[in-house]
Amino acid sequence: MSDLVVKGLAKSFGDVRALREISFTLGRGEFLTLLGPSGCGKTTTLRLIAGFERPDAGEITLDGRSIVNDPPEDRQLGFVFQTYALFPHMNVAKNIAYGARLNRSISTKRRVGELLDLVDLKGFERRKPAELSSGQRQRIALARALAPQPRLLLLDEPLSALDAKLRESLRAQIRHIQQELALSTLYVTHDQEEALSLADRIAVMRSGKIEQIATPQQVYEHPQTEFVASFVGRANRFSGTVTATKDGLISVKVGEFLFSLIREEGLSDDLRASQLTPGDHVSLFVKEERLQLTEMRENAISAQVALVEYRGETSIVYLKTQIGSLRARVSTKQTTTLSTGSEVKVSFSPSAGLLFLAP
Amino acid sequence: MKKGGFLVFIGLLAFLGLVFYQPLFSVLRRGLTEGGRWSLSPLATILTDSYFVHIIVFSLKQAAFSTLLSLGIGLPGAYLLTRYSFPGKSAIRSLTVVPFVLPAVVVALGFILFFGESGWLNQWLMSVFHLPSPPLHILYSLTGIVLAHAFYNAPIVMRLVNASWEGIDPEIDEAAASLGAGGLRRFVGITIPLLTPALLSSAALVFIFSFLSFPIVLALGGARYATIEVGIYTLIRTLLDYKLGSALILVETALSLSLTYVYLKAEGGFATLTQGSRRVATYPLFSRKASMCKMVIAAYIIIAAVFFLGPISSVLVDSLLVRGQWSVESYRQIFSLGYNPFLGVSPLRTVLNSLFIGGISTAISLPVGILIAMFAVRSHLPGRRLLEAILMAPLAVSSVAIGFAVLYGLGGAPLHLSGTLIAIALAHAILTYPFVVRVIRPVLEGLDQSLVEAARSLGASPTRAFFEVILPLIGPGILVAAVFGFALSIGEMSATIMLMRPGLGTMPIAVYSLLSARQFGAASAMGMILVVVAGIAFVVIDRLGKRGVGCRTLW
Ligand SMILES: Nc1ncnc2c1ncn2[C@@H]1O[C@H](COP(=O)(O)OP(=O)(O)OP(=O)(O)O)[C@@H](O)[C@H]1O
Ligand SMILES: [Mg+2]
Repeated sequence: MSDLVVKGLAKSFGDVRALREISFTLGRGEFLTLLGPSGCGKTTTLRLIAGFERPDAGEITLDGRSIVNDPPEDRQLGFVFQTYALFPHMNVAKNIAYGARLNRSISTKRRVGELLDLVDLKGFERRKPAELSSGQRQRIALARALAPQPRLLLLDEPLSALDAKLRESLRAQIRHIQQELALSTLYVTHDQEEALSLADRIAVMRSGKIEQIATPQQVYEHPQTEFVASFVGRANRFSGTVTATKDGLISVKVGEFLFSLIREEGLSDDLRASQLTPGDHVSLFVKEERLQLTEMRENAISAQVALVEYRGETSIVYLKTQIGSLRARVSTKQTTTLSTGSEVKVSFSPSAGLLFLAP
Repeated sequence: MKKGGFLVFIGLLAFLGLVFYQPLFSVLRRGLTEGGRWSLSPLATILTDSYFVHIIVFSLKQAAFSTLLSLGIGLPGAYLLTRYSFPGKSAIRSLTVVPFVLPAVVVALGFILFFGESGWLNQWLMSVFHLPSPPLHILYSLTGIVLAHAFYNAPIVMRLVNASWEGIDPEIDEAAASLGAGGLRRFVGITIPLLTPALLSSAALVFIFSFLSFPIVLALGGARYATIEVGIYTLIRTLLDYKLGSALILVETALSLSLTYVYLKAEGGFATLTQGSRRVATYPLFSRKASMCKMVIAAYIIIAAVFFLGPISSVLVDSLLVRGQWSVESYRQIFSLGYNPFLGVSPLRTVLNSLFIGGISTAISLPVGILIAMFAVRSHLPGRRLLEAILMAPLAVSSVAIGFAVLYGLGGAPLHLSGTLIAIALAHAILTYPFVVRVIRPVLEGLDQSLVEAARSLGASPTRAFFEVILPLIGPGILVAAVFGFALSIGEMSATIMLMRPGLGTMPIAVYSLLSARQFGAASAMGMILVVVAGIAFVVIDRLGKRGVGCRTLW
């Protein structure tokens, strides 16, 4: 519905620099998640956009008009709080009607019915928030935010207080509603699975800055920084030295071993543009599911099984090697012959390695 | 804090400076001057004169005994409340608030009627055991004072210790048991150390209350048993010696500030304890099985019931008894417009005075208390803890001293408040606003800030958000604070007596005058009005106070 442009946002609380430089755009009907570790400034970003705090620097424009100086009540944004913040003295219907009532153009009663339909809670009109389960509260909070037909929906870790099963089903429901309404949505989470499964694009944040903003697939498969590579998914990390670069291949020496990588796959955009030269110190990342227990010609090392952890379809195998401990996620079928102490060969394809210049 | 709020807060500080800090400072300064010059001689007089040394020592001594007896009566009660279940348990827990709203002079009256030489207890003992003369000589002695203070303070001990005890996670005790510790070892090694902060803070609180208590000592002590409070009153109101009176106030304030400091230290230890997820297991008190233990408990309950119900019932009975006959004559007397020689005005006038003073003082203490609570919860100013402590100072200054400060600082030019009901109302407002703060503060703390933000993001202006979201949520808390402040004002006698002029009498003063004149019927009828006001306050606090306004917050 709307186009949000955020440019150069900065915000400090006393000595704490919560945001250093945040810039991104959110297209019409797009679903963008802000993903990052605790304290990286996700909530602060959302609160600045909603108008609960004022930025020290930067611009926020919605549909081409700056909203930085508007009070929150004039911004027409829906906000879903982590703690839901339902009005405890009002019943469900009054909570949902609150925003719709303040917006003259909406017929309140019909709107309440529509929204309760939308979130599957027909018949709960008279309940007080205290009489709802936490999953129901969450859906009412969503309905309340949607009632005044906001231009933009902001959600701050809306599912973090719920158990895993419920989280998954509500996640699907939120995505469904968002697509149905074609509502531009900014969704904060520190759960990468949530971010990957929900979003059109993900902005990965770290200490008040955005490290990478891209589609879930790009973020997962082509992380642009070492931080993103280690934060998204689970990867094994090695320190090594570049020994040669030629024919689109890069050789990296880690301990006694020499690994070869495909240049096009293994380098971030920045690194590809610059020259990687022999002697450079690098970090090599290999995602746990890209390690294989079948012997291949390239990039193979011998290892000893330390522990096999059953996870259903797949299993996690902890390995001891000469270059440190490794973690591999393999199909459980492959682990039937393994036991603690078994000797195996572990390898990865040249396209599975990701390289970053060591700081 | 926004700019507007900041200005309001400055205005508040200026107001309190004018009506409280400045008058109090001029009183304290008066105690340090001689012939217009700074001097330590008034202080030296107080600290060397054997009479004053005697009353200082007596004040501390009676406070110590009162504390011990309050613990002695309150701790078994706390144990029963924690470990046993019985019908009426939650009612008893709620009733522990009552001493806070029950005027001390009514308790004194009840004690005279019940424990006095010709009181109900002595009469009953004489008729049961065929005694020729009253066996108990309790009143007008240290014992009487200490008993009355225990009546007042044992419920506080009971409530505070019970709350802390129930807050102890039973798993801690179970962990000790699983490690092999027996019942006694667990009690001594686990329970007592965990209860120590509650024990210390309730003891400190009782000590302060008893140390600063005035109406009970005045009415039950007789001439020989004066405390510092009574000494100040006598110096200033009878001997008109402002210099020595002020010096005595200085000594008293120094002592009470130190005691308050100890109390706040002890109270700080509370926070870490309330983490219990599961409740302590309780045993039914009234089961078939009789045991030695049950006998002891039964004896305790009977003695406690007589001790707490006797004095109050005596007031009720005496108000309805005229020369051995049931009659409402005493009430008719109280609601008459006729001049009463013992009061200097009509009794009805004192009722109206009390209502007027209560109204004005609540109208002042409520906004003052709310503003301070908001400041305490919202502000991020450096030094705000210290400022907060200073703002709560009236808690640590005696009522008699505050009464005199208002008289001395505001009685003359430019306000000329001397001899007005406004002066009394101001003194009451100063005395009660800290309690308003203590009621409102946790309510504000419990208010989720994101509720306001939610309302704003849904399109509500700040004003709308205040009226539609904040006010409905804190409204009950404000009502509780108002009722509590009003009840405290209605029952207040200490500051009032310092500011009293003929015609300005209030209900508690009337009770005191009538009981001094041995007009027990009329005193009891007037006392019953105060009991009813206290009862209404109790019901409001109990009903509305459920959420947030916990009993612990009152002290
Ligand atoms: N009102 C405030 N006063 C002071 N510091 C603040 C305030 N709000 C946030 N901060 C600080 O700013 C930084 C960013 O906080 P923010 O709440 O935006 O993090 P977050 O990414 O949402 O973290 P989380 O995942 O834990 O919710 C943190 O260091 C936090 O302590
Ligand atoms: Mg957050």
